[in-house]
Amino acid sequence: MNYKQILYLVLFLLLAKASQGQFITTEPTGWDRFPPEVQKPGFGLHKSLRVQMDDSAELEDVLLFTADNGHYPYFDIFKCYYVIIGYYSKEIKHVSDITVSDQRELLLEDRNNDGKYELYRRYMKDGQFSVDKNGNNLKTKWQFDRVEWK
Amino acid sequence: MLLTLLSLACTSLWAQQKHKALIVTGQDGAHWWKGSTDAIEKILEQSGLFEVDVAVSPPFGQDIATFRPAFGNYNLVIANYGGTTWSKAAQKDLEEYMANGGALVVIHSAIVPMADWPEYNKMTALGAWDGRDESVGPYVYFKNDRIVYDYSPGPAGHHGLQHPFDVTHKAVEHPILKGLPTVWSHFKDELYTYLRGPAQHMEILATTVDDTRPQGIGREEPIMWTVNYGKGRVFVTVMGHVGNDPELRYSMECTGFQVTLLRGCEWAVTGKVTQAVPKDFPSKGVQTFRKEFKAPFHAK
Repeated sequence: MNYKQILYLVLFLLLAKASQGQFITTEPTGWDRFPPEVQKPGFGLHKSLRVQMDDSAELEDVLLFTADNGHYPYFDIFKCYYVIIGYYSKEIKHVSDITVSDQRELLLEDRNNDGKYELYRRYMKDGQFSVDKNGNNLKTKWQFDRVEWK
Repeated sequence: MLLTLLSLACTSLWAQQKHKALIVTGQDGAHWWKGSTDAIEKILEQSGLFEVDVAVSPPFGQDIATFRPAFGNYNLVIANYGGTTWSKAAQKDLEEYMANGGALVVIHSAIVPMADWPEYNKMTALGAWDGRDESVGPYVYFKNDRIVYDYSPGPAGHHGLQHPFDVTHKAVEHPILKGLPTVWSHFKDELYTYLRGPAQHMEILATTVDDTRPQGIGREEPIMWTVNYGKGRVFVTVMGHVGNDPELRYSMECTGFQVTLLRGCEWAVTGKVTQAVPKDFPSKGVQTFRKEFKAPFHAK
């Protein structure tokens, strides 16, 4: 192999490296569906949906994490929180507070037709509720939220 | 005087006819073992067929070596236990008791503990969690009305959200099930599936399908079965969850659970079932309850 050929090879390798660089846009994440730091102890991922939640160009993954909070003969109680992650950027955009409810709902709708979805949720005020000695007759003060991001 | 003597003799004879049962309990992290033990005790004693004692192990973290129930003094041992593996001496006691013709009934979470005790795995035939995987034996389930022994790798044990489910009898002529409706609705319970173990000398009595799992994943799984261990007989029921948060025992209030438990206990002791088919037994789409853990007036 003469000097000319070696020069061509080096130029080719440099070009190949530069070309590869054009396609690397993010660092490898090392996680699959969600970054581990969003999972609180005792909670598991129950459901997720991919929708437009804010003004950014990318869609967002909205994840519902739940944990059991008591089983009764005719209903169950759960602790829930929501996480929003940019689908392409993988940026954690929001981690909600924990609410207590008898449903594990991930209700996302664009009811005001502004092109962005809202999160609708129903939960117990301060997580408080009561039942009778047989675990029936659930009593609580329900709260309703519509959560929208700008 | 004569009447009194006759009455005493009859009472004595009646007492002798009762089977002596021992409930083994005392540790179970995810279950309210005091509540379930009380329910089992009531179910057995109020049937008039059993006299019940309870052996309570030391709590978690204390010396399990001090726990050594006198199995040999009883016709029946009921495992309502989900804790630390017993000492080698206690293990040997139960192995000898069963090998010599003892009777063992295993309820719900008692198929979970002591995975590191091979003979216990043989007695229960199938188990869940506690490190069990393909090394303990196959998954066992029904497909196209055939028993599948599935040796594929994977952990043992799964349960979804508690729910009511249909129980389908497979061994309809077995003494425990004979005469009962062949499909019946069980009240809300914590259904264990993906069970695996040695599965030797085992007869599956009844199955159910976990329809809380995604379509195509839920399969027809054993819910009640018997095992021959040495000269002994074992009856296992996966039903009977009693949670500790909150402390409620609605799954055990199901008439189907109570009746099959009683019949399973009698069969384990004698190999026969003398109990009549009760009129309050559930059927397909119909759940019935014995909230006082005894047969109501309309059962006969």
